[in-house]
Amino acid sequence: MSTAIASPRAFKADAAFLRGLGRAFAGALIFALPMLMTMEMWQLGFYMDPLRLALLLALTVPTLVGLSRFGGLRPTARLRDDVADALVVLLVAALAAAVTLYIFGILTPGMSAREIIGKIVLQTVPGSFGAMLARSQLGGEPEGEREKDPPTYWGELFLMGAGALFLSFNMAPTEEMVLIAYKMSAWQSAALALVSLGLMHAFVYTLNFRGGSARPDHIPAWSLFARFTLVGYAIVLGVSLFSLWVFGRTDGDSLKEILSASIVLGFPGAIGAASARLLL
Amino acid sequence: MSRSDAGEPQETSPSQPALESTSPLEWVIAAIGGLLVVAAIAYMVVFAIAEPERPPAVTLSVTSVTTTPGGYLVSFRVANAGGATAAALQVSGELREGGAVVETSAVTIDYLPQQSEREGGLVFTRDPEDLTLSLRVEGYSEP
Repeated sequence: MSTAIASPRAFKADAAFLRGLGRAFAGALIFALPMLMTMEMWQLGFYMDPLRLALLLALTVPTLVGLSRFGGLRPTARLRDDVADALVVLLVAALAAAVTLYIFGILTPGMSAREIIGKIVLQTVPGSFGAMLARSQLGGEPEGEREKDPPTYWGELFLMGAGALFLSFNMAPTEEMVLIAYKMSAWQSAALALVSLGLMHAFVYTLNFRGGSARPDHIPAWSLFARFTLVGYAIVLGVSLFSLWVFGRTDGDSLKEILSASIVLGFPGAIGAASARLLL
Repeated sequence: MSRSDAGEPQETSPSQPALESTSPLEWVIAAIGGLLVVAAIAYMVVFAIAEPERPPAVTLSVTSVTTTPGGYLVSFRVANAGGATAAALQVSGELREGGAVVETSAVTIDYLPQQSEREGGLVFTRDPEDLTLSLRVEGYSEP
């Protein structure tokens, strides 16, 4: 590796890497700005359970590695390159969050280290998703050339989970999720779950978006529905429940309210999961 | 994590230009990122373990009394030395003249995180210099 530093190829690679960093910074801002400008996110930064915040950040790393497999800053050959990419986008996202929060006056003297670190760490999570996706969403290279092998069944499920997280993370911290759940009757909750399932299936297999999966003729529709849409929706609900729990939105609530709030948050989550192949 | 790719080819050959390997510069930045992530997680975990569950412990101090067109502004600072955040912190002030309350004023501080401080102000129509001023924290809710 040391001999590679001097070669012109390495300089070209570094220039491309720096451009990638800039793109990642842009991606972090694009995706995290709604959250950087959300009051609940600042407040959660200091009052959420530090262990849950640590768990959230710890789980972000493998998720980013997985995203890097399917999109990411550059085509990668080996797992350790994906790990490197994941750590790079985390640093970029943390910088983007720290700078933006400071300019907004959200980080001021008189705040404890816990408060400042908590605020930055919490914003780093969505920012790092945006930074990682910057490659696939804003990237210059034509998509076709770097299209990797189509994801396996498990890869497909992972992408659905990431897509659900991508959309639901925007909304999970807000008061409205729980408020909507309070306002809905049990019938409306059940209806929303059915609507989410229907939309998920339609988005992927019927409307034929770019990147959506055309239904192979030899697989019956009920099989696709059971193996992808139903399982996908279960993942969406799991992601929703996890997001709500991380933000302390389930604490002290009854099972009915928790389920209802998960279904509410699962609605954007389902849209995100269904369009994961479009977004990611 | 670092060993999991041991079985794969060591270096990407030049015949596969589409697959970039990680440059030394990127490894440096990745290492800084990794260090920060580990440090942040460690900080949160240590904080959770080392800080016992303690209620908010709020102290209040008057920082200045200034005359404004709207009245006499009593600026104060509240500091929370406890282990939990106080939300909707109610701060009230009284002006007394010979034991009798002649004026009251109150304000709500949205959030006062643990180990942090916030500033606020109470406005009175009478000059606090001539009277006995007392400020106190009335209560808060859990966030």
